[in-house]
Amino acid sequence: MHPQTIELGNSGDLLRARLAARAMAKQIGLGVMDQTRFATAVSELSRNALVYAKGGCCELRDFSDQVQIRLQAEVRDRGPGIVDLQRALSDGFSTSGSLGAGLPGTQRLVDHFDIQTGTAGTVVCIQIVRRRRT
Amino acid sequence: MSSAARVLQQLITDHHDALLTDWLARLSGGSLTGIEAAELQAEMNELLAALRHTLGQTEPHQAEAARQQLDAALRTASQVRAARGIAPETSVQFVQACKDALLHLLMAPGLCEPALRTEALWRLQATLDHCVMALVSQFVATREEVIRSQAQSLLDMSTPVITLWDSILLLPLVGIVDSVRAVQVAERLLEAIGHTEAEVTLIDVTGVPVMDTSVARHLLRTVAAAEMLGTKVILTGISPSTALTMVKLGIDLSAVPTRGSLKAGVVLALRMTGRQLSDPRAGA
Amino acid sequence: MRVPLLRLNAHTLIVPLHADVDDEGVLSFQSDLTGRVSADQVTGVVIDVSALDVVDSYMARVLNDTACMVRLLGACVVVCGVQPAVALTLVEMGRNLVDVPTAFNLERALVKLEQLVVATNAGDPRTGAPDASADD
Repeated sequence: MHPQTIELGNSGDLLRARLAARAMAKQIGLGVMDQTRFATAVSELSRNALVYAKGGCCELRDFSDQVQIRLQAEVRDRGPGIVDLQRALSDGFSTSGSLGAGLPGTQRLVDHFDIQTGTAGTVVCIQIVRRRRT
Repeated sequence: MSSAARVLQQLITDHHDALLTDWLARLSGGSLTGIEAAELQAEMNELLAALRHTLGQTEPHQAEAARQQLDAALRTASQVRAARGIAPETSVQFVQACKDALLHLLMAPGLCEPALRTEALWRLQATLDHCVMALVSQFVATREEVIRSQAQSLLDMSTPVITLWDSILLLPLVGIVDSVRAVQVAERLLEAIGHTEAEVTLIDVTGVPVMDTSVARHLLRTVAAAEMLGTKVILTGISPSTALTMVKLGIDLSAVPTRGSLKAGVVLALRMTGRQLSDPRAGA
Repeated sequence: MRVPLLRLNAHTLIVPLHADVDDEGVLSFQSDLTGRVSADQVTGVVIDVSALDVVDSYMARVLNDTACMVRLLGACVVVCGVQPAVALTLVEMGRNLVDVPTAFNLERALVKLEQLVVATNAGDPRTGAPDASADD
């Protein structure tokens, strides 16, 4: 499957990103539950890029092989970066409900989660990995 | 093509049938069980052809391509044996018998100059060592795949969601509940609840030997998700020791109705769905 | 696209949320809804989320907040149509729907709503539990 890039400039793009994420997850063979996890994670990260960084882009890539399904989403922005990353990644911060970028929650949905942030922007890379059932 | 490579290729070409006979003769009883004669013959032919090709290649690209072909032949031989539960030593013996047959031929006096023979020996040895390595790795990989798929089947069988009655689902949790299993169970249960739109879902944990924080957390999450769909959850089968542990660990299940036994849970579920059990044997 | 507020009867509203509600849509729907609940003396609201195949933490908060707003105005709320995959994803993220009664579908939601409204007349709009301070 070809990689897909969605520019995140307005809230209409969030919908496009969600739809693209689900479509790709479905196409490569993930079940409904995993499709939803992936689309939700993409939605979270894309929304963060839009809200906290005024925009960015989301790239979806298929790294599957014969042994496993591996789907990746990388959301980048050129915003101010996350000032207190440790805090943003700790549970107490975001479960308060209204604050926080929901990163710990997103992390729980996926198998790999990597975040790089600085004054030049933020890149979050997530992957869902499932062994193929023979 | 180097001379040693050419010697080896020629060797196999000229003495093809004799090699096969000798090879077969060197295979002891154990190596022959589980494989039919015709099948074995086909394997040997394929392997010998691949070997001949590999031993004759000196140019790196072609050597790599030849080696892949050889690996493919070895992989098949190994998978067949692994799937039939034949011991891995058998595959190794299979290849070693081939090596012995080839060596025997190569050592025949007057075949070629000693210097060339030494080089040919090196080449043969290296290639066949690679073969043994490939065989063993493949065997291990195949067996692991068998184990994994059996584990998956076990997982599938042990998380049934039962429709107990109209509008009442039962999930009997049995065995160790680790994270992977917990997610599987939750997914299955939620799908079933979604399909049946059950008013009440019983989750029975009688068969769960260890209830610790992580299991309890998974359970609570599953219950929360189930209730979000619109079903009411009743937890049954919490043992006295589990109850003790849960309170000590500070696990709060107060929001979920519980009953000591599945029986009591069923009675409650029936009442919640507007029914009750009556015993025709009981006095009026 | 605007979220419609469907009037079932004199005192009940049904709100079908659709998947492509954007942020402006959310804000206007919340203000429309609170306005209507107040103006029309609505006693019960069903929020139908069966069209939402993805509910992220923002949307979960919107749902929780909306339910809160409606309750503050004295009406009962029931959410219906949460998809199984959505429910699981929400709990895995740690974003449950808080204190909001739910039902499988619209039909059951309306039944539940009616029970809640009746109970509310005697007490707490959230649980329908009789108010400790209520008379007789």
